[in-house]
Amino acid sequence: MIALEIASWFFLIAGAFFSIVGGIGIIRLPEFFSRMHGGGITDTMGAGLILIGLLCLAGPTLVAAKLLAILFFLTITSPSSCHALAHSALIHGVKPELDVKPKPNTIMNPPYGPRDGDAS
Amino acid sequence: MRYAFWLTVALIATWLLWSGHFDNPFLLGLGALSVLVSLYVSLRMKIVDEEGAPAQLGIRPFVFYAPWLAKEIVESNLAVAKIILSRKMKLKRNMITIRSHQKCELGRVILANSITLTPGTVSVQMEDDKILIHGLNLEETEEDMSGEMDERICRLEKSK
Amino acid sequence: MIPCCMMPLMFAASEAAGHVAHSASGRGHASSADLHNMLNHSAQAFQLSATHHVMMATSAAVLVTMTLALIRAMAGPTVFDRVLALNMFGTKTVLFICVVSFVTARTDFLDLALLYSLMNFIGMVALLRFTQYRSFGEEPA
Repeated sequence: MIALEIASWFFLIAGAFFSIVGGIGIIRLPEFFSRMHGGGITDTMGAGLILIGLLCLAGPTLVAAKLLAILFFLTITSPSSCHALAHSALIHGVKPELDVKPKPNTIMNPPYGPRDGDAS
Repeated sequence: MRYAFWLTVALIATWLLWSGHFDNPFLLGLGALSVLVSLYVSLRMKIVDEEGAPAQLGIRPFVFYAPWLAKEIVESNLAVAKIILSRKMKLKRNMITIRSHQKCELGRVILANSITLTPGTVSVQMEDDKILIHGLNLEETEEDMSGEMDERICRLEKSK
Repeated sequence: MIPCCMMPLMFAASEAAGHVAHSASGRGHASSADLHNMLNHSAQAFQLSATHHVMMATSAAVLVTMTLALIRAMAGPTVFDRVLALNMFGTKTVLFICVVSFVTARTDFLDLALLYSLMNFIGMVALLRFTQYRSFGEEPA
């Protein structure tokens, strides 16, 4: 019991640290496509560690099942919305600043305008 | 039929777990009603197939794939956190295209979501079997970038 | 045996040991069993409060992150920066509700967190559909 509580302190503090790092990243990083990575840190590591820390406190109850469901939904929905956001930004002509010159065939046909079956 | 069965099981489990009432007949009746309604609606929408209710994957994504993905996420998280906290951010932003080798759409979606879930790489666009990736600090070449992920998901969907 | 001058301190340190204090002062001295009991109680109280403090610190960190996201939402040059910041704000709200539900020991708040995470996702997709098609309907306007 005590070991679980100490583990939960560790997870909660680590999760808090990573979520603040992600927040700093979303402020510091230079342009939109980089900032998405800062948001990704808080969505995966911050949320995951905090929820795991709470799971350690919850014990094997229905509360733990709910926390697991929240974790599951966050891991499914956060990359989906991140992808939708990036795709939408690219469609609207937000040019990603690149440090490396991309190969000519790297960027696919510029996706101007919505196409059929585009599900974002 | 198999997909509908497993969808029903998942819906019933969801209702029981989230409500937390196991002995109140009124609430159980409401649960049965809502399970039937959602089953009917999803059958009518024709989304009960290997994509909407991926019963063919079973429990393997959680047992074999999720732990490995969690390890990858932790590693790339540490890398990105180091970049953000360093005084002079050493960015090497790049966009590359990789090819996925999965057979069905579900495998490709899992691959793209896993790529986005690991910080430092975001899948921006998907076309047929090509995935355009924006990377914060990409050092790998296109081949070994997410090669293992691709292979693992292929194995996941192949073994039925 | 612990010196008598330390006793008030120890008693004050742990509320849980109050009844032990009473019985001990009634007899004029504390037996070793009483002391043992009391230390156990104070250890429990300390742990409970430590977990409490850790959770308070975590919720404060989540609030700081939410503030940073709001700063980006206000400053963001493009609309996508703002949407990204709002998405992060929503995720942090879910986490905040979870942590607060544990701090206040009202775990039925978790249902709200679950609902909020789903609504956040649906809202995001709806917003992006709107920016893409300029309407929420099926037909591109």
